[in-house]
Amino acid sequence: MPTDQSIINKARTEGRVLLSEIESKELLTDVGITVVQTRLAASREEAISIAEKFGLPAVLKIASPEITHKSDAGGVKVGLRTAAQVGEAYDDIMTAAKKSYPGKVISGVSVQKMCPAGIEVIMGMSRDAQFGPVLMFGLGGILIELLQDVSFRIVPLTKRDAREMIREIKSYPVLTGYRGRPAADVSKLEDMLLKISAFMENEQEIQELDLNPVFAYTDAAIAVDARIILREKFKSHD
Amino acid sequence: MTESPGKQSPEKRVTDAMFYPNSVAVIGASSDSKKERNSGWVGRLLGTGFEGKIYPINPTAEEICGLKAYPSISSVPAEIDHAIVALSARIVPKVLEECINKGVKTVHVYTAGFAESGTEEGMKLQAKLGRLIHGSKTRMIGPNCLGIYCPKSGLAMNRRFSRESGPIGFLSQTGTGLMQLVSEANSRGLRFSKAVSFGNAVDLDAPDFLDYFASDEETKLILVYVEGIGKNGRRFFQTLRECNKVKPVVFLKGGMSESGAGVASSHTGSLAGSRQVWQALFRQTKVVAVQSFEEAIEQMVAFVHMAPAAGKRVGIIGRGGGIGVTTTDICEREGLAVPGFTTETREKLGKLTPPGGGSMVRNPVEVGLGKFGISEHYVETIGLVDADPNIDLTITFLDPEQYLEHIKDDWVEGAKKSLIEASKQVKKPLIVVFKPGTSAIVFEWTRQLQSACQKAGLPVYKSLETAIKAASKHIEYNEFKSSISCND
Repeated sequence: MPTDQSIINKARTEGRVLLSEIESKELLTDVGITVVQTRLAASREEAISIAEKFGLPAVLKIASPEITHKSDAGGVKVGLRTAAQVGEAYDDIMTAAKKSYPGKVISGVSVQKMCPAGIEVIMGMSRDAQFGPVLMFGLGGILIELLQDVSFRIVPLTKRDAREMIREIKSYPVLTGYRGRPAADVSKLEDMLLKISAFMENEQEIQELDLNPVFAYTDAAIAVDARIILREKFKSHD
Repeated sequence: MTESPGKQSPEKRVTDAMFYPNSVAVIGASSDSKKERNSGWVGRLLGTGFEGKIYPINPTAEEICGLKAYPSISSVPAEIDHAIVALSARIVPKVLEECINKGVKTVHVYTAGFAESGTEEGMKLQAKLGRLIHGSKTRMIGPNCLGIYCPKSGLAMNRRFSRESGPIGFLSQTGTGLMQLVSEANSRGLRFSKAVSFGNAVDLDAPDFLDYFASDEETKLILVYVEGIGKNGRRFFQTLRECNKVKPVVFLKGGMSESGAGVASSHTGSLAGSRQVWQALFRQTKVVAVQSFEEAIEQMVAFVHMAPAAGKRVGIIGRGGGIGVTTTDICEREGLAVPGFTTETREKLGKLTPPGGGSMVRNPVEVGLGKFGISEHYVETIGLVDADPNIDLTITFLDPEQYLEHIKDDWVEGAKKSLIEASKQVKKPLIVVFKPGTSAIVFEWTRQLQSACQKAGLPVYKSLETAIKAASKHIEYNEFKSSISCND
């Protein structure tokens, strides 16, 4: 399936290489990857209406092409259980953002349903100078950075690659139900990796992609946050 | 010039004919015959047994090394299958154009000084070669490479290379990699079907040759030495993956520490270094990755001489005690198992043990191979271990220096006889490890034993560790191959 060019074109026109969470998730949804639906709210009322439509509790995050660390300066509010809490969170985020980032473009607030906690995993893609798109898999949290407990595979992945790259990490037992905790449905993670691989196989404009975190459940896997970076100097026939 | 044939299918760019030319032109042969004979390509071809026509090309010479010389490739009144270009880089584009116009089938550009030099001029000259060759009917190997070694046709770059053909197809990015590995492999009794060093790969690239080797009937095993894949990385990866399903690929990557990932801002980008990506490639393709020239050779010995084992359970016949214990450790580290023998085997082995001899009937077993060297029970012991249903392969370890004072000069004859006899009896793989020791006599025995065992089709190693590592990877490859399903 060809990538939705309108999102990429818009970013290019605006001179951006970083896609917003909402844009990134739209691209991923198009290629069949399950993401937590996220919409932009430009007003308090809109935030409440979106939150009610998706179902409470909700998560609100600052939406700005210029702010990457959203949780700094009160840019993220979680566990909002009522319409009133959503409205209040909207106002708080906007006030704090305007104060902390004067002069920066603030598009509004992104609204999504808060997912029940699952096992956090990370999936990502970067481009290798020799082999092109390479996928990464690891468990979320500090293990990735501290122990570099991650695995890599070159695109395109086979089913065997997806199966093996998940089982290769040392923390794999966490996914199989460590100490009586519920096990994750690993096949859903495999499917997600294969979909990213299929997406990236002919995709030329994306430089990096992070699905961080993905929540793995006993019967599903869903990308909670996503971020896409476009290639800096992309020529369509290089 | 004729019309461009359009884009050729990538699978058919390398052909059998490329390795078996009827005529070779050497463009840039020296007018000094003595010099050309010693260090030129005409001299090389005369020394490697090439039986086709050789046309030295030199603007002034009448005759070089007794062969009629021509001033240019276009003045040769015959078809040219293969041209070797050994001229300074600046003249190469013009000569390549002449070759294309002449209809030369393959041009091997030996000359260096192109993109690999890092100079702007080198880059420009290389780009020029690319523009000339793409779309033409001529195929080009190089520039900056040693080209083709084919023992059967005699097309070769070194007269010391064996003229015997064998099962190994070898793809080397660099000329030095090729020279080193072919000579080392030759000295271990390994023989090649074809080898090629492809250099800067402006036209023919690694995937083209891999494709060829995968379907080449003369090639049973493929050796690859690369330092980096400049372009066509994805195609290289995918071709390698397909290739390794058909024939084992022993893969040596030089320069694993180089950083090719560049600066990246995401998690994935910062963690995906060049080394990680190459390791991913090894895991995805399941090629037999090795880490040194030496390991490459030892691994090929296993592929050429060792029969496939049904599993990973090793029976060891050697000295007991510390050696036995550490050998077991090495096996387990390398993913092999050292199980106990069945009661039946233990009882039979026990009967061979002299009363009070103290020989071990556990695995590793030292029956038939005690402190006095090989006993009359040695071959029988190998047979019993081989027949044990708990065992998939046997390794026997000989260390004659340990009992040199108890044995006679004809010891090696006895050892050879025993091993050859055992090789005929065994139904499972048998690996011989022969420790060369430090004395001249044992060194000489090593040489003799190695060649005798090779003739008997037995793999011979100088260290247990090397043997176990090579055997383990051999078994792992075969397990992979039998596990391949259509979806993988």
